[in-house]
Amino acid sequence: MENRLDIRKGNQPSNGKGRSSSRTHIFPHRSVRFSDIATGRIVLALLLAATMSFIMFHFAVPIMRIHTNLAIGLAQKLDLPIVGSKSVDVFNGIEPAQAPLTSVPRFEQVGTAARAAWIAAVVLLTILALRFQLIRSVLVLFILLLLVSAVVNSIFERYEFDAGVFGQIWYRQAMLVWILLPWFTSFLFLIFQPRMLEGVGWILLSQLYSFAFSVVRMVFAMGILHYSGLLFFPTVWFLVGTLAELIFLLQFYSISIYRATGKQYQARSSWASLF
Amino acid sequence: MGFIILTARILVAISMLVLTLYAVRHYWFAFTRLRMRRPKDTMELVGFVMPTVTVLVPMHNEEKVAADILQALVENDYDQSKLHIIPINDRSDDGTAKIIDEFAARHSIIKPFHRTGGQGGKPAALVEVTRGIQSDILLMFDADYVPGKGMLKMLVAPFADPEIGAVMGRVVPYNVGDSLLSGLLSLERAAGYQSAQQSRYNLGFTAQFGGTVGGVRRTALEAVGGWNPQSLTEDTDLTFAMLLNGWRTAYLNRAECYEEVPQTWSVRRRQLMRWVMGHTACLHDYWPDIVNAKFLTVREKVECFFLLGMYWTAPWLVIGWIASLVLFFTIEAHYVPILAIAMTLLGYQLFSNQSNFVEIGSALLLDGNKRRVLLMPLNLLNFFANIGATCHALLQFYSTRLFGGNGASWYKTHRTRAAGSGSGGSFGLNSPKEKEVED
Repeated sequence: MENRLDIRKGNQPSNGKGRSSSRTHIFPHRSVRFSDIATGRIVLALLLAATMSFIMFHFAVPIMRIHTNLAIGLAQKLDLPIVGSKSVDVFNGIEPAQAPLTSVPRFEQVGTAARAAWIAAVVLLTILALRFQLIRSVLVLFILLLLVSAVVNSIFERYEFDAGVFGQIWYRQAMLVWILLPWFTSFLFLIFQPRMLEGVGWILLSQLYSFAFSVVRMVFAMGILHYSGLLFFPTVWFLVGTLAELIFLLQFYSISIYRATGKQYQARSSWASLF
Repeated sequence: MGFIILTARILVAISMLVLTLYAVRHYWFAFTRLRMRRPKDTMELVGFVMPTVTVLVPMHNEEKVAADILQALVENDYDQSKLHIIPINDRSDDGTAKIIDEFAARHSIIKPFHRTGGQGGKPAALVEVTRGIQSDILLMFDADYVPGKGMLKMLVAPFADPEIGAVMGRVVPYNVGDSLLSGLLSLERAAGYQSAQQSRYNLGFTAQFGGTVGGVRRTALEAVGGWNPQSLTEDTDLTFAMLLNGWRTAYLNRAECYEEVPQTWSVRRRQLMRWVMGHTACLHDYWPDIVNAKFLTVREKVECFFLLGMYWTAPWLVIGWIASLVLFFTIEAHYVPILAIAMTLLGYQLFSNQSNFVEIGSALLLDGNKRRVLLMPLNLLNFFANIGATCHALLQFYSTRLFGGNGASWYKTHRTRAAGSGSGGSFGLNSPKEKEVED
């Protein structure tokens, strides 16, 4: 019978690739486990974050230009009418960006279909909120955003919100995210990942995904603006704004932890000396 | 209009500051735990420190789970000549009393305590039963917990240090696969214990006594005036009462005990609201004493305020959202970067939200809970739900303080375990669904 506490001197820790008839090591209980994060790894993470932030800041104008071109291309593919572009200020130190423009109807110009969709959305969200307790809070928030939007629009019928303002807000939040993201991802992926190259890969992938995903979300939000004005916009902004960034980041993070945990378990005996 | 914009900006700024400070704290704890080469651990003392011990198990209508915990406790390996087990039958009207009496008839170390009247709730029951106890150490378990065989020795060991007034073990949910909510709550528990509690303890801050899977030194309890029967969270109240009198609470990450977390949101909501109100009451009761505490350093005092004020992050987040919305609809505000920053950092709480998840991720990495990691993004749902419940609880708390009223009452957490499924003592430890946790 296997002696579960037997330690054979001279045996190498299991690499998880083969079976052995007896256990060669004792792996530490989870209460005393740790990851020996080397200082060099932390320095590398900080350097990488600083470099990427610098690149995002320094090349902000061409990056936003590519973003705008892609957004216009995607919008045209989807038959969303683009009526040109407008120069908008982003931040001090970053030259103005070109925001794609589409026509945005005022409240009294919003079509019947959009108004019907608004009513349907409120009804549907109310039913879902009553049915599912766990998501009730977030659904109530959506309903409130829809109601506030309708109230503000109906009281201030002359309230105008053109696509240029939208583009300005979008690029401001996008630039902020792109500049800050490497600092988060460096911590999340480079420090946690047992394999350094894989960590760097996650960081680059996150940055790239954030850029590409931003194009898709921007076009989607412009479509909502074009067809329904501001009626749905606060809710849509909430969903496709930075919350969307957070969700994708969480998905990447959970997958990376999943993979890191798997690797830790392939080398249980060397838990404390993976890095 | 200028006043509205200015007010909204100020609120956004305060909100961002509060949330960012908490975010930094979460990162600090996660990073500290991850790099912790040697967590404080008193395992080497196990078996050498054997004071007299009384185990208290408050029970109110616990017929589904009573037998499991009593069986687990009588099977533990503590010196039985120094051990008493007191199941507190707190006005139960189901079969709890019968189960307790049957166990007492078979095991002389079980001394039942039947309550038939008096103030309801666990704190009041503890006050009543503690009066006659002479043991050195009082250990506590909720009725749905199933302590392992060596648990009592582990929990008693830290009391070898005379500075330790209370001990807290790690709570691990066993019903993680029974509902989405219980799975999500297991992530929160992992972060709260594996990461936050352990880091706090190792960094020299006090751990938080949770009122179960833990114990208190009787003399320390008496020195601080005993349990607070008015508190909805008598455990938090005791933690701070002890801390302010020079007693520390130790955290034992190794002392794992399995609990049933809520499976439905209505149960969870009531539990959370009780915690919020009790916790916030402690903040109001103790803040002057914390400021003037002679036993605490400045950083410890700051951490005390972070800990007691943590539920305030929810209303600050909501205030920030509302202020952002006001700025959004105020056309003048579109031309300043504050709106973009607010919507980025605060509107969706990229900082604080993500930092919570970092804590969860680091805890799960150490725990080795591979599959459950993938649930992490869904915890956003739980996050939004918690915000609603927390704001509601704080509103209720402050309206009661301002305008009077009954306030909150003590709710017993609903149990879903089938009676007898615990197989007495071995429950959870050998069940397939817990295998991953055990790793």
